Amino acid sequence: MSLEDLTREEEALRDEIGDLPPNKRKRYYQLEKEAIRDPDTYAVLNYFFVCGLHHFYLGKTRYGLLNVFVMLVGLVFWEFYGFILVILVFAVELPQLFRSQKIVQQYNLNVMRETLEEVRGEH
Amino acid sequence: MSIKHHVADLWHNPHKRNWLFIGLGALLVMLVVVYKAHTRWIPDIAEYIAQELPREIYQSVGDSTLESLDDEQFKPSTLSENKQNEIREKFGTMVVDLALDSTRYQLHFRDWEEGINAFALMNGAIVVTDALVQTLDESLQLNAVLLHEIGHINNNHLMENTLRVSIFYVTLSMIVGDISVVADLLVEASAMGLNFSFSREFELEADAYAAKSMLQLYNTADPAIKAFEALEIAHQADAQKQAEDTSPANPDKTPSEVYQWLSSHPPTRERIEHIQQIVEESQSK
Repeated sequence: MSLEDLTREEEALRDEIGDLPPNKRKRYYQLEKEAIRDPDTYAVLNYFFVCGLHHFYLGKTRYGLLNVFVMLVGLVFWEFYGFILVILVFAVELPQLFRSQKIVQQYNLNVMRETLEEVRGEH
Repeated sequence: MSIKHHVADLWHNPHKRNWLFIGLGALLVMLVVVYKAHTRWIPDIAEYIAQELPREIYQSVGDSTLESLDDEQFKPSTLSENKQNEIREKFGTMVVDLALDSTRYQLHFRDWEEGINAFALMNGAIVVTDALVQTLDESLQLNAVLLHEIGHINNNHLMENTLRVSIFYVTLSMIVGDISVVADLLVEASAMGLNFSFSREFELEADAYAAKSMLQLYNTADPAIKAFEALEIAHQADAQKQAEDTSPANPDKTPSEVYQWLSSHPPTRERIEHIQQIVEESQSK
């Protein structure tokens, strides 16, 4: 999905949120504020050592732990071809730095959808 | 709220827990990176660059260092010409016997108020202070100290030490984004060669070189051990004198930095044991 598609989808969701009754809309924004993620923070965490910290930010704890573990093993055993592991982590994670805007927007759209469903289901 | 509650709150709140993982992950990776950089990457890079640098740079830095020391700190040696020539002659013989390039090393004598010292410069110059010559009356003991300095020159310790510091500051400035650190580095670089304190690793490496060379030339490394002991005795005597000089009766006196050669090195006991170990290893071969 392109960035334009994601923006269009977000606008459609915003319209749906706008149609909510005032008390539910207020409740929605309260929940959204806590769950939404910032693309710049994600990018900075990705840039920092490129070791998978950005996965924790999006709540992907297992993926983050795996990434940090592989990175640490690579660093500790650097002179025993450990650098290959580090290069591997870089090769997988670095492209995400350039797609950070899109990744976080996609995540936020999912959060918005789930929050909207949750608020609609509340009595 | 107690610490227990804080920890429970940190763990049960998904948002806070994510930040806990981020913090711990960053700390772990950073510790390992700093450790590897300090023990492996920076020394390897410094060693490579030091080997690749042209000889002219070593010569020029060494010359200017000696010049600035002569201007600011040293005085002409008070040792007699005969004594200087005698030591130079023995030094020259030692260099030839070790099959080293005799044009690379020059021995200089200076009077230095800071006391007992000998140090190598990047251009192959070895400066010995009068106080050192007077303390080590046995010529083989002085040779052991000179071999230690040759060890520093042969292993490129001065340039590697300077490069290690430079790489560390440049890396730090790149991480923190403070370009003023690089400017400070340039000032520091101008003092290259003036930093006499090597790492423990460099000192032990130079000791090993001296011990092996002593064994090769004289079949014994005892003079090296005796030299350390003599310097240690002199160091203790100086420490005692300092304590008396800085007593309330002499409030204006500040502790001098006499016996630099020992103070910038690992503990004497450790060095002696290291040499004994090298001797044992060579005898068992």
